[in-house]
Amino acid sequence: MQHDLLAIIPELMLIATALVILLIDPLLPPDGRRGLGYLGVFACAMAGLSTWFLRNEEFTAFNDAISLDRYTIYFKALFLVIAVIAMLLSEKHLELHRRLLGDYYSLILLATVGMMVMTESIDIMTFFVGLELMALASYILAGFFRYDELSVEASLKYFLTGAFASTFVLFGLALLYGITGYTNYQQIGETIAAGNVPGSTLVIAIILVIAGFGFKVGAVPFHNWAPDVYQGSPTPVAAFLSVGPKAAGFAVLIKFMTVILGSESGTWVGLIIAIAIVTMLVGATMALVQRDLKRMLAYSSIAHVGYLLLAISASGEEVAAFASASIMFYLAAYALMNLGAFGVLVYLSNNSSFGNRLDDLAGLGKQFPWAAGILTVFMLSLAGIPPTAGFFAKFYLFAAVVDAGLAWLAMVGALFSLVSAFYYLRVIVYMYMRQPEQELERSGERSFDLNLGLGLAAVGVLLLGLYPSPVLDAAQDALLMVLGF
Amino acid sequence: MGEFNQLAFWIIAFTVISCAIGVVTFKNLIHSAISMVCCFTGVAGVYVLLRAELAAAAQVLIYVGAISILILFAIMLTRHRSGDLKIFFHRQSWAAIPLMLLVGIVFTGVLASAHYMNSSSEAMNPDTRGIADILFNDYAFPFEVLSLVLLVAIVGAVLLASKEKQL
Amino acid sequence: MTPLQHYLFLAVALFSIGAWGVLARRNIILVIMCIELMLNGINIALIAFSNYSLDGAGRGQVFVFFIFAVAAAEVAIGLAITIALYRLRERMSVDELHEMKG
Repeated sequence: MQHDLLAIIPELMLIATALVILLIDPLLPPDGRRGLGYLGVFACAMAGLSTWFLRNEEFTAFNDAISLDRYTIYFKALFLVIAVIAMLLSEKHLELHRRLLGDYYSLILLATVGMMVMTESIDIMTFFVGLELMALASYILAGFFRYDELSVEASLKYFLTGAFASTFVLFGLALLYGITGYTNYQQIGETIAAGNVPGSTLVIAIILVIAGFGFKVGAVPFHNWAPDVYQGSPTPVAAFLSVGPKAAGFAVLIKFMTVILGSESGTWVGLIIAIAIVTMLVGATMALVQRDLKRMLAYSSIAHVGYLLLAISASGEEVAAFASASIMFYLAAYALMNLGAFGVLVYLSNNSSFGNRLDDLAGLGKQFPWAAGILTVFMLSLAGIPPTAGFFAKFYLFAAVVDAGLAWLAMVGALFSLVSAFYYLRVIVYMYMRQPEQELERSGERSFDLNLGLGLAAVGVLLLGLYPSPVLDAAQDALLMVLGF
Repeated sequence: MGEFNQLAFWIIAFTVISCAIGVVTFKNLIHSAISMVCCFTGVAGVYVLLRAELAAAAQVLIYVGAISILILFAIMLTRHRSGDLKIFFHRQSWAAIPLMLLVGIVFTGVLASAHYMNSSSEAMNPDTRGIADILFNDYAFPFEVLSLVLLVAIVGAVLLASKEKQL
Repeated sequence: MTPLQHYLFLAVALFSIGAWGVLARRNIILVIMCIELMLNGINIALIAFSNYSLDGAGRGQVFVFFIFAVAAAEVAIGLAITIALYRLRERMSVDELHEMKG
């Protein structure tokens, strides 16, 4: 029993903190609420510490509901980093919009718990409950500015598409249970590999699961919600939503595709490749025409999902370990640079009349040299230019795809990556080489939290770019131990 | 007994499907909601035929009781002078019927033709004690996580729909 | 006994009708209702599988209880968002009326 609880110590810490925040929030005066964010950050730090002590454990807990191993530890640490940076980015923004409430931090913590449960699940029911915990918390976060119509509309759109997508995943899972009689990933996978299942039903289950995941991570043709949701929801929330649920979705997708459907890779590799190509195409081309920066980042995140799906298709081949490790590294790099890019938007809208439009960036290099400099780092990283994390992430990813014997696919990916470099670099050109028609009005005040969050993301991006081996080794170790490659 | 079972199934299935079509096609939202209640009740009947009495009872309590009332309340609360609340994003609604017809036919064909190796012809659904055994032994962890899902729902509902003033 | 396939037919029918409603209708509350129809279809499939399965008997039924709880939570959130949006729209239309009166 003690052993079982050991596996969920990080979750227990976050849950306890979320409850404490909910309890003491009404008792505090409005300006006393600032401390709640630090409480959340502190809890994440403690949870991060506990993952460090748990890093060599490997066991399943709660009657095979969850497993603790390097793979889940890697992702738990990543989710904690995401949560910390997201909370640091939020405080000032919430205060300026008069929505500084403890509920916000509770929801971020609970959404993080949901992601952890998803990732550590080895049973479809545990997975489903974790998924819904994350999803419900995200819907509310998207509508957190409930007096802002755009935010509530974003929340509604996210909810409707998310709930619709959940039913697809659920039907797929129900069919998997129906044809195998098991709910445990391993047992389902073994039954499928033994070949005792009706093949056509299996194909339908695979299509449903892939469609549902496609919705969740924002792959074409199920991507339409992403730009509206990111544009409408509060910018710090958009930062969180654009990385957290995606990382969790891919963490589970890797498990699904290797443990459950590993023996059926012939069925799904083609489908994933097709989705990946269309996703990159739509993401890269649509981002070109956006004038709103949050929409542009949304389409850029769709393009990144396309690259990640490329590597998922490579994980159906023999070199699965390399491909999956490259996805894990890519997710870490992507999380840092995307959080950072959104974070700069938060900074600018806190401190000036910045309206998230591309034209607002003109002359920023002079007016806000620090913010412009940091945004340049993130844009270079998103474009995949050395010496940033984005470069190595893309390099490993495409290398894995080439190793899988899909060199032409890597070429296609590199081509789209070239197209996407255009709109990232355009941001830099606007900031440094264009004269503003009208200077932004300065307003607001400095926030230590926000600067710290941005600093963490920027340092992370540069560190991962200059010295990627620790994280990459961690990812590879995780896969060696867990998925049995 | 077997024939009675079959007959009852087809009657209930017919009711459920026609009520479901009613939910989608009725112009008046209240009619849709009432049709939905009938549909949910019919589904409870299906559970009884499948010897899942506990699930049938839960279906009546949760779907026919709680969820339907919640939806009816929401309909009442959002009656607007300018008509019902519409979704603001564009949809190709004409494509929905053929698409779903195709999906339905393909799925039915595949599922009906499949041979389920591990299936038996005897009723196997366990009784309430058996359900409790499975739920509280094997699935205790997701059951606990479920409490968090409900907590999030409470927090969210209060946060979004309460009438508090802005700070 | 009714064969498993008949129950699956009913499940798929309910799922497809619900999906049709989600795609075709534009009223928010109706869309939420249609999502519930889809979930009911899935529940029928799960309980049917659970009833006819040799190894996994009962597990499907437990899964259905999870779906019940999650569906209730989901509806609560969905309707809360709908009401929040309604309040905003209503306030706006009231403001418009005031403006017109001068």
